[in-house]
Amino acid sequence: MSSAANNELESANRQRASIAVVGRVNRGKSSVVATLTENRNVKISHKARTTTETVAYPVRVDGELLFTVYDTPGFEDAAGAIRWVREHANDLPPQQALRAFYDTWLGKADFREECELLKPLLDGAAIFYVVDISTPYRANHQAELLFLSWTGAPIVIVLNQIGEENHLESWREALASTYPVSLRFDPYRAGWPDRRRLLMTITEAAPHLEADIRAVIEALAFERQRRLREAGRIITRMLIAAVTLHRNVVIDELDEVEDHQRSLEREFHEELRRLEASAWQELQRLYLHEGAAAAHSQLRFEDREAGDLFSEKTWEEHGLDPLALMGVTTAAGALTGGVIDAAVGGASFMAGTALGALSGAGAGLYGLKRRYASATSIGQTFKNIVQGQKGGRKIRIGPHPSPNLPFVLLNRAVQQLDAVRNWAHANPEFPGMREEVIGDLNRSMTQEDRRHLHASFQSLRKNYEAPQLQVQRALRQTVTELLERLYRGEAVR
Amino acid sequence: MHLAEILELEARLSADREREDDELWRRERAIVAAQPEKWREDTPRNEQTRAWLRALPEDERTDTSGWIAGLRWSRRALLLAGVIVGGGLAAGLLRYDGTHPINVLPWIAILVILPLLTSVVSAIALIALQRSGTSRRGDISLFIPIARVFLWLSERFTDPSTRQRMRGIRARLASTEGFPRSGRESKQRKPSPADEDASRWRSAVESYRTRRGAYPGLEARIAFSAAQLFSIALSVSALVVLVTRVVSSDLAFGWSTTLSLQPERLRALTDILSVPFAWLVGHAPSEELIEATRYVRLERGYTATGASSTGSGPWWSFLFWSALCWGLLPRVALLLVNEGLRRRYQRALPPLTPDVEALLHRLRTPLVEFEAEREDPGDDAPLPLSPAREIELPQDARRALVFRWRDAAFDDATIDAILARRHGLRSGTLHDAGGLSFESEDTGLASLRELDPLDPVAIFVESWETPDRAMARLIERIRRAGTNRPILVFGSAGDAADNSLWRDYLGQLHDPYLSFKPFEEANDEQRGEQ
Repeated sequence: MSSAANNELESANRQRASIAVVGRVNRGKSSVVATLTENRNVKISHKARTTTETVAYPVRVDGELLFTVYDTPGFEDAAGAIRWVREHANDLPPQQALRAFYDTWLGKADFREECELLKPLLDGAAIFYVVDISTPYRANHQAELLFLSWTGAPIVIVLNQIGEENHLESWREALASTYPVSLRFDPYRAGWPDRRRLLMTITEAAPHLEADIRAVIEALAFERQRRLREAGRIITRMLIAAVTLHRNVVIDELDEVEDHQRSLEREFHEELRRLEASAWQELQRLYLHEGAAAAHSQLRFEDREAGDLFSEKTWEEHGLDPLALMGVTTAAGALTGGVIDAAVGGASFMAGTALGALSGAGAGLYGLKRRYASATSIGQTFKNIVQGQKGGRKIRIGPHPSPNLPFVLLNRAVQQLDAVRNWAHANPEFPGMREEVIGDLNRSMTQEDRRHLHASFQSLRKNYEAPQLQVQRALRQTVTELLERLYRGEAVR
Repeated sequence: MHLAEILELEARLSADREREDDELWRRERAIVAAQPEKWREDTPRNEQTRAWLRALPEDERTDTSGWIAGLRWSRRALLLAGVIVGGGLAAGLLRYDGTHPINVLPWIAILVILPLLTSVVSAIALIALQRSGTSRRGDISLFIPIARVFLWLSERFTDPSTRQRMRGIRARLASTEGFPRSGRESKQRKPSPADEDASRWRSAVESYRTRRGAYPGLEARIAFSAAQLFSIALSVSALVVLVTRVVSSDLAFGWSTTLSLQPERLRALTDILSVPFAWLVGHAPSEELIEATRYVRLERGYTATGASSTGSGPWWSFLFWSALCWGLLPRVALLLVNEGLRRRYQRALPPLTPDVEALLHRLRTPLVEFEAEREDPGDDAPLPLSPAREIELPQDARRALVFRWRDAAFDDATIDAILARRHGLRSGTLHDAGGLSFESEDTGLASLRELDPLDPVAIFVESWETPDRAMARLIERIRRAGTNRPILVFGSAGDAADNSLWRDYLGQLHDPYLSFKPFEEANDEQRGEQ
């Protein structure tokens, strides 16, 4: 094979693996790139000319390049560039004419942006041409489109709406006949289905890229699945840490016990809040929102009235439904009693089951409203042991006694996860949590799931010093399965 | 997995718990990239874990050779202890000064019956250990009372300076759940170094208790083997001493007890004990021998009750074979069985704990990375200090050359009205600029020559159309074509941010005869004038 053919082949390979996002200045190109590549470090600003050079955003699977998205500076003078080409390279084929243009103007102030955005295009990148449909179509856009069409690359029109007005129809009417492949894409609100659709749109403009684009989508979907499992791990870790949290303090005999108790209670609940906030931050990091994580968590963390972990509203919204909670604790009690009944060969006439169910229901009722744990003084025990020695009193708190706490934490974590999963990377503002997630979660959680979770939490609480690894593992499995069930439909949506 | 690998795995997992997930993913994926064939889903867990340990970067390897050497040395120490105890014991039991025969009963009791009983107990323990499987829960309950007693004693019987010197060890012990610190220490509400030590140790102890639950019985199996080694060394040493004494001196054996043990009973016992080897060597003590070698202690010496004690020689072979068969061999068997079970158990390691599960997940799952090849340099230049400002038109300006920028949607009437009402100007032919075609723009620029040098150029733009270099080029061409005539850029339909962009951009051109007038503002002014 000749060297020219080799170069052509290499060029074709490169073409399959890259997309250049181009358009006029301030049309949201960088926002599209940020959301498409999940990169919060893309510079985005309402100020014009935020992007001054072409920057490659490669997406790799285990270090192997999957595809590259290029963020390019906006067109500054496409008509001027076309005029130069017509005057100086009119006899050349379009691609060669563009190459001549590039070679002539590279490194010079005039047409600097056009040369920058030509770099990936001359290497065969497909084109996302971003327009703002909140402004009406004007015929002068044809200059940029003509310039782009000379590259021979497939062109997809990305219809971005930055402002309030909507001129979609004028854009569609003007461009549909020449550039039939277009898609509305809001980089500030786009979720995974929108991203996937945008990528698939390339295959309409360039069917020969279908296999590659499908591979890209498959890898991205796989990555989302991986992150979901990681999220399950993070949430489980937080739940285990929260359910087994305990503190002991030894104070002087003469100190006021109550003061220390209150102080320990404050510290204990602050620690639970910190555990939750830390898990939320981990989730945000997992979904590559690290830059925005701290500000957001702080905001929620200080919103004590409404969003605080221990507020009444939070427990009402996120805790188990009272009937469900009692159902879980009653069933767990009945099961324990049933084991005793079985052990005595039924000689107890099911009294164990009945008593177990009753005590479980009682425990559920007791824990229902108990949002705060109390510190208790157990100094007397130690006085007996050391007999007269000024050993001090011991105050202890935890694990938190409420069976509802882990469910509150789980629900809130899932809500947070849902928000960060759907948080477009171009959007600097946290989109807020969807209330309906809790309903979705509760619907996907069977009574058996609740029983498993409750049993795991009980076991962890009981063995809070050395939580059993098999219980930890079982809890992680249940949480991950719940999350997978919750988002099962996503892959086909 | 070998013990060294288990220790290294646990050390690595423990260190990894302190690290960011991202870091771990990157490390694991780099390891996989080096040898992708090793990390398939169907490769056994232990093989993957071992390969992972070997593939870790050198600075992340944990040197467990110290632990293993420590274990080896403790085994050797146990062996030595067994040799010393066994040798000493045998020497004591076989002590012979010629005044009375060596009593065989203590030998039988200590080196045959007792090992036999402990072997039976050990075998039961081994079966229980094997059957208990995962039921063992990490517990250090024995440690707590010991720690309490030690701390209490140190508090009570040591002076303050000694207690200060013992601060580290006290902190470690006090970290054990439930032990009270002294009143003086407890007053320190701010964490002291000792408190931090205690907290670290508490966390380490809790972690250890959790982790050891993942390896149920492993420690017990190691301890079991060590105990067998000690017993074997003891028995071997005792047998060696016996043989040495028999070979090197003339010993006389007999038996004597305060208990009312009849020779027939002893005979029955020796017969039972001889079962394993009697067929082989035929050395079960005969009834005559037992009768003959019984002796009692009288006032000043020992007297044999039998005819003679000189024929007591066959006892030594009985003692040798019974200690060998009942003291030594069961221990050897237990050691072999236990080691076999331990190896089989270790082959199935590591257990699928959450940490190991996470590790395997990282090894088996590709990672999609989103990175920028380099940071976008961006345009961080500060905004111009002098945005485009208002300019005054010359009094005798009568006519304006008008360009409509980028197909701005202004009709002739609107443009005429704005120019006339705002500046008392007439508009000439309307030219388009900024589009694909330069024809109209060129014509307009050519017509500049026909214009009075003071007449302005008006450019009508839609403010939402961001200014760019094409606009700068148009202004430059206007300047090249004539004098410093005023250029009025009328912007419309944009919001404040758009207008600000235009002012800033035009200001950057540093043209004192260039002005930007937002169209809405112009309208307002017109209304005010009316």
